[in-house]
Amino acid sequence: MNARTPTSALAAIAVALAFSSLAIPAPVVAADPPARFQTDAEQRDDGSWMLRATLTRAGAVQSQQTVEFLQKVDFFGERWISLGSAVTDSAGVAARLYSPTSNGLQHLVARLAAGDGTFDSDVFDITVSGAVPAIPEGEPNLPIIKMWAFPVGAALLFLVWLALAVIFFRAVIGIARPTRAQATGHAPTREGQAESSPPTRP
Amino acid sequence: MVAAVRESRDAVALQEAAFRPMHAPGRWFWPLFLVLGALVALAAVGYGYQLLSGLWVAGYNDTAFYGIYEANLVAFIGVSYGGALVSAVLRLTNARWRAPVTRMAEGMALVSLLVGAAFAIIHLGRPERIWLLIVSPQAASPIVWDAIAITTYLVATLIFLYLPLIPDMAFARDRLGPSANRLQRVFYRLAAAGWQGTPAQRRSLNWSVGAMAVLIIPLAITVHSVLAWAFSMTSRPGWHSTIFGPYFVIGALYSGVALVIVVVAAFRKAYRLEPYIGLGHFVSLARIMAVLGAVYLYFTFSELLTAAYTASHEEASIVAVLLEGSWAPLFWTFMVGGIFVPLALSLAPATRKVRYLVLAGLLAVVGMWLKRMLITLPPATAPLIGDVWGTVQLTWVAIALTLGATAAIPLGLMILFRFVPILALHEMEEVDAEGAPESAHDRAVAVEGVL
Repeated sequence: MNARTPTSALAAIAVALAFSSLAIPAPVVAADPPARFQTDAEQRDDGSWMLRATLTRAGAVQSQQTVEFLQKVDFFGERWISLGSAVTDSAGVAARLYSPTSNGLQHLVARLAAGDGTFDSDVFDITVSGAVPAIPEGEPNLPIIKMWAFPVGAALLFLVWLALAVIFFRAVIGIARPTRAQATGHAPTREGQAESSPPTRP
Repeated sequence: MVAAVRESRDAVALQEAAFRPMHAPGRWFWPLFLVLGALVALAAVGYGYQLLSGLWVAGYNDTAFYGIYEANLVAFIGVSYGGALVSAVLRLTNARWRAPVTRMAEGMALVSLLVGAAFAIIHLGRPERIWLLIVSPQAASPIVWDAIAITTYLVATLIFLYLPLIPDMAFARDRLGPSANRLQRVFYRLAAAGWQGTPAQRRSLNWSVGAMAVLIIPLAITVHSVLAWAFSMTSRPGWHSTIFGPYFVIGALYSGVALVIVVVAAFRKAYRLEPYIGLGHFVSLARIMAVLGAVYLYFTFSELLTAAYTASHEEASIVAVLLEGSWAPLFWTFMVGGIFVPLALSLAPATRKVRYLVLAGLLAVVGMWLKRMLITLPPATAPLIGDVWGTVQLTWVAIALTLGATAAIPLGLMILFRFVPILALHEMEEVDAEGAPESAHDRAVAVEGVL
């Protein structure tokens, strides 16, 4: 009885394998067609830009989808910085206001998360002029201060280190001196009395 | 005659207490040493992993270029300034109750400064490039001045700790028994610098200690201001503030005094120093802490009010996330736990007990660490392009390094007091000698807690 059990198990596996080779393959779920973007950008009177992306999939507009806008920058290497996101309306349009802080050609992208870690996206360019800098430069014109700031700072730093050295070595030398004087038999005197140098503690 | 015998017995007891960590560290010493050492070792592993993998393993990314390391840098260096300034101010004002706590405050200043300075290197993605600070410094860079300031302050702290130590090291040198090895003899002989206790030596030492106490105050204020300016000169909303210098200094003092309370309480308990450090010491320190906490509260209010009232978009967004947004839980935890509760515990007569004052100190230290996170992270993650806020990830590497650094402070102090007396013997004797008629009374008052 015990000897037959493995044989029957092997037979069962063989039958299962035979049936599995005949099995009908599972239906393949068709992947969503990629989203298509139609992007445009329009500059407004105040210098800001209205970025638009119209989202379609297989020809049908896609509403209530979150589209993210990004800008390609060169900051410690090329990377994309998010400008924010917008949700598509019933016409499939996602609109986002963008206030550039630098002039020139800018590479932007509108993208939609595909759900599997990838994105459907579209790259488009705008040429910016009249941008308002995020931090306007207004360097004060202080030629005399600029000329003297570093030497004065360096001199102050030198004085601090000098003071530290004086304090430290005055203590160490001042402590060592009486010991040397005693060793040579010339103990310094104070108020007319010879200084004794017994240890301060037992 | 009886009084002289009693005085002699008191002196022997004091000496025994001061050297207790060196001779009889206690049964808890090695287990605690191992636990703290393990945390430091874990931090070292984390840092090694970060060196191999990059700063991203500590939660840094494109949208959060400052993180927990910068908060740690400010927090640990801040408590160091607090420890040194407490000691210096108490010396200069000749507060006679200071003597038993100055050594611990100065030791804490040194150890926490070393830990804080380590974060100046840890927070660099490419630490080997620190060499460039030396070979090609840019005078206009706040980082260069930061490095100079921290180095200068480290030397000053070492001198400030060492000078008052000289007579005590001489005492240790004279007390070395026959079992002492050659290394110990050489160490204590060199550290004692030939001290014999002559009047000329005393004059020389007192002048230098006094001068150092004067110098270290403007130095500490300047150095912490330089650290604050590294933030406030970045033109970033939330950091670009004129009051950041004094704001950082007061914060450093507040957290520093708070940590002094905690450290003194821990070593007092561990080494049975109750006869020398009493409730009065804690009450006095807690009052100083409360005043500094109130000033810090005023600065915080002033900072938020002016930022909110100008209502520029960038500043307003920082105020909003702090008061009602994603950082609000942390901010209000700091306000209540880090300011209001410590103030109440420090000042209320009903909580004038060591355990409540230590709790106040502990809350203030943790609260101020949270505040450093709040100073660092919201502005660092605020968007300048677009309106998407960055995110900070609290990774195991960042947590391990923070825990390891926190553990390094008690560990460093435990090691330090294995080599130097925990109580400033010479200073305690001098203070007693200066105010001989009142000294016994003062000490009793301090210990009893009326002071």
